[in-house]
Amino acid sequence: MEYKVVECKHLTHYYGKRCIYKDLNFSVPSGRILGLLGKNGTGKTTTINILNGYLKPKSGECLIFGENVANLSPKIKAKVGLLIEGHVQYSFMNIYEIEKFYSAFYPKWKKSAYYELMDLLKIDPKQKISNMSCGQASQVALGLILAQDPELLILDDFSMGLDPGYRMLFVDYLSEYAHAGNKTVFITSHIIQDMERLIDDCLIMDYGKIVLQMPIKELMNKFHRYRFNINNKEQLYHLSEIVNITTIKDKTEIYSMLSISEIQHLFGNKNIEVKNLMCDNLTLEEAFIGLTGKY
Amino acid sequence: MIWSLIYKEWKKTNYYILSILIVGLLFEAYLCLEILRSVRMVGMPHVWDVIINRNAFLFDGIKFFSLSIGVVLGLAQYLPEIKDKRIKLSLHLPLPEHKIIFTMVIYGQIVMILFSFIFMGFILLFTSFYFPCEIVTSVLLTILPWFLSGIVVNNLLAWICIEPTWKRRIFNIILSFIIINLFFISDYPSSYVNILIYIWIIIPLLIPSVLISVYRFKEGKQD
Repeated sequence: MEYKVVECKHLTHYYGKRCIYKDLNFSVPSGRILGLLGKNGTGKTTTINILNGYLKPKSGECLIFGENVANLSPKIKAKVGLLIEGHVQYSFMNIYEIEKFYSAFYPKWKKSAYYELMDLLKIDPKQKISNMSCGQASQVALGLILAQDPELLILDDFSMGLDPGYRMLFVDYLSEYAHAGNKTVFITSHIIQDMERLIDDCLIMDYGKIVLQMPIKELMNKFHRYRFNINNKEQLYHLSEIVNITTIKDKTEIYSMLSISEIQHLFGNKNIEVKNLMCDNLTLEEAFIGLTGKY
Repeated sequence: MIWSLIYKEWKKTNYYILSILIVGLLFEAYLCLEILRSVRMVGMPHVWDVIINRNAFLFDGIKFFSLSIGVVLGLAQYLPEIKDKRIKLSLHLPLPEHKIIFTMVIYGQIVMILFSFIFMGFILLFTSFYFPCEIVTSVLLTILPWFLSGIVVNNLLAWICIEPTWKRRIFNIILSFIIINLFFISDYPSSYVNILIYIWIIIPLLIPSVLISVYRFKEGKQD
């Protein structure tokens, strides 16, 4: 049986009277990179904050390595690498000072992993992090996490504010590090193209609920967009096997986990006549929009 | 690990500590020179008369000095922690959270105690050159509550700054103002002599107050 590094059980949270989600359940198996996707306001940051132990849910619990996140022991905290949104670090230190600070806390500290990344930075060695660009600061944050060598990484919006070059550096280093060391990663980002290159599994949230959790390869293989002409699209709304029905001019689009033959069979059974049926393979971003809607 | 936490606090505050030392000693030197100027102008017997018979206090200018440096040091320590909620970085370190927080608070307290020794020592040394031990003792008993206020305000700033909501922060500020006022009830020389022991007790009692703010921060309290 797969060991679950992260387990969230029956999570419910409200901000005032606004329900963010109710009875949410998910887990992150050991050695997998799980990407949390969702539109703004669906609860991604709420989930990350609960996982980090900086938000108490209304009910339910989250466990990391079997311990409740609200009271993680120092031994478990040493196994968790945290990237705060915005690559936040102590900006009054320079790269040597911050490495000296953190290295004292982690017995497995890998200085070489940190300085390998720092050598790529073209900065004055005494330059404080507050005087670095967003990309440079993110590189410092990444280097510190890699040096810590944690078993679980929780990365909140790792691509925020980064240009394509730094995003690619982040994805490349993280991917190699995670797969080589069989690390478990829980990650969020708004740039889904980066997630597609990195993650093994995806967890897609919509308002109040989890829409889907599955391996990304399985999602890409199974989830398709279908485009066709139809006279009466009202017939489609009763079908639970399809989602997100939109019409642009005379072309109707639907999304479904069914294969094209299964769709044709379904339409045949329901006496739905369609013309020019086409099936599109999707990128992760398109699949995300297909599952959650454009607006 | 504790030394690393102390190193972090030092990196945040080193320039402020140096500046406070320089400015503080210059300020006190200025006050002492002002007193010597008065002595030259009116004569030492007159100054003695003013101190003994009219209960005047020569170092009024020092009244809010320790309070000011307590605030400056506290803001230097805690503003970087609350900007972008950077305190999450410290709380995530593999140490018990109370150990992390108390190291930060006690660092500030120790620095303030050292400042108090240095600045009070300067004043008392100057006073001992020109006045008898009774007046030196009176000066000590008068300025001691003022310097204790600086130690206390540094502690209270942790409680105020780490608090995550503005509503509660304002309440904390008001309550802190009331507590600090206890140290400035009277300017009468040596007026605190009978209650100094109770004033001292406030300091260790207030240290755990920061844990209330940390607990609320971890719960994710919002305005």
